[in-house]
Amino acid sequence: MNPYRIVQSILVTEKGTELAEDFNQYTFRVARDAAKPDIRRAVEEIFDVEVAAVNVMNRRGKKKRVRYGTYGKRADWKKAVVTLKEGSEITLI
Amino acid sequence: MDPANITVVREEPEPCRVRLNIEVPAEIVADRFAAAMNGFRRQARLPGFRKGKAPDALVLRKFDTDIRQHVQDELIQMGLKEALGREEKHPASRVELSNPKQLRVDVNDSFVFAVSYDVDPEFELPDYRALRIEEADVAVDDAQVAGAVDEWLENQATFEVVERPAAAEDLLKVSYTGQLTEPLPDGEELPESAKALLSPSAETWVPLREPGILPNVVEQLIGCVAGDEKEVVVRFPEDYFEEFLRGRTARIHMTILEVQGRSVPELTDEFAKNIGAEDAAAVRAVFRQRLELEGRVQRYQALRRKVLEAVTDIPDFPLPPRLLAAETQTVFMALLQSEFQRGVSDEELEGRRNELYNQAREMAARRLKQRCMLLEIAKAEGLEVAPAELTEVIREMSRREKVPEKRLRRRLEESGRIYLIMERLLVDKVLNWLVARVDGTDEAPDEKGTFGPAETAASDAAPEAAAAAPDSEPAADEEGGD
Repeated sequence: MNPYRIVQSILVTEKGTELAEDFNQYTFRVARDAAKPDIRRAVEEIFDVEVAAVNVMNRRGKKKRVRYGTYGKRADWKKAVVTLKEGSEITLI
Repeated sequence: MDPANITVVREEPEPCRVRLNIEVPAEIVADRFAAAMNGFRRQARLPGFRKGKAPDALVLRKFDTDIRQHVQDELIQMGLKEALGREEKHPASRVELSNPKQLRVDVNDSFVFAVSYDVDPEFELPDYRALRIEEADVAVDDAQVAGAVDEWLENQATFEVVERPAAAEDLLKVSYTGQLTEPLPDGEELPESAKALLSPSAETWVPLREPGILPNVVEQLIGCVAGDEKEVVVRFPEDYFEEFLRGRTARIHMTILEVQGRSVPELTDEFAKNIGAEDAAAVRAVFRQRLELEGRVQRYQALRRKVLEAVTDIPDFPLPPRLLAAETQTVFMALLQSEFQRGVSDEELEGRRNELYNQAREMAARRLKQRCMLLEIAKAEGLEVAPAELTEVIREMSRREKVPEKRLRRRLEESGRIYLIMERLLVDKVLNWLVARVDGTDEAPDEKGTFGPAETAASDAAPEAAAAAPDSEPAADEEGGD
């Protein structure tokens, strides 16, 4: 599978930055149908790093009010927290 | 971070012009960058981060241009303050930043920029303290008073219907109709303004005095009596105000309805009482006082002119270039404006542009030289504008412009015009001081051109007569600073 279809974007957030600094963990938005091994391979290929572990979580899309009394919903998505092996690093910014 | 480490190299590219090359060391740059980063980080709101929690790298990437600009402004201010503090002479013009678009500030590098400005020229003051100028005292004789009174009485003349042939200075009530002697070509029509002069009028007034609206008719109408019908020929001169009629001839048929004779009143005690004065002598006294006052104002203005000429009668010295250019531009615009108001056409003005510009440059140079001299004298003599004097001027302006005094002051301070006003006041003060020295008096007219007590006494004698008397023209300001 195309690695760029699996890893959709890197999440640059306050929490993500702290994880990167403290635990060498990086958070990504990934394809909902991607499995952990797919994500590992994709990250290794795109960033040229060695992955130690992959944790994933499915996030429900937020409910958003479209107009008065009518609600819509953003798409569900999958988040992956990838732990890199020592010596590997991804430059976030 | 010590501003003393800032390096300043001074150059004088031309007389009265200073260029400062300023280098702010890298450690100060880094320090200011860190402070700016801190400030931006605390304020930054970026998605994924709480306010103030975004990492520096992200803040820098997002606000790079703003941060650099902020730091650059700070460094320029700091460098400029330090550099000007080391200079003996203060800038006399706006401080200009050289190549502002090419400036770039980097975290780990020193920041280099340059500024240029004018400084006051250096010259040797003449011995103004030894200046002696003779100006004759004002003396008003009886003939001058009589002349002024007569002139005023002429303006008080009244007209009454008379049963005699019309004479010069009379006023005729006429009905008339007029037409051009030569018919207009087909298709051409009299313009409205010319039509108004020639179209039939049932009742109008013709003063028998040249110049009148209808030229060369006085002689033709002298000797007429009421009821006469007269045909007059009017030849409109080449400089007649109505352009269409210039050089043309018109035949005007007039019916004289009334002849009114002009009656100039005599200055008698009774006439004086009617206008609120005690007697004729009191009216003459008012005129004498007025003439004396005018004479004193004129004498004072003449003295000011002579003092100014004498004080500035030293060899030319280099003048601040930017100030000279700005002053030249101001004078040039004023010249163009005045020529335009005199009726000079745009094409002619365009043709004389260079001549006018050279004239403006000469005038501007003279003004600037005078200003420099007088300010230097002020410095030498310790003359200053007192806050109360400035307040008085601003109060007067606020009354005139109908703007609250505080708001006007703030506006003047913000625009920097307050310094121009202070400078003008100071220049005026120096001139008054010089005149008082050469003249051995302390008096100077106020801004209305009066010397105060003298006129008050005169006006009290016959206030209405004083009010009715012809006003004197205010004396021209020889500096022409406004």
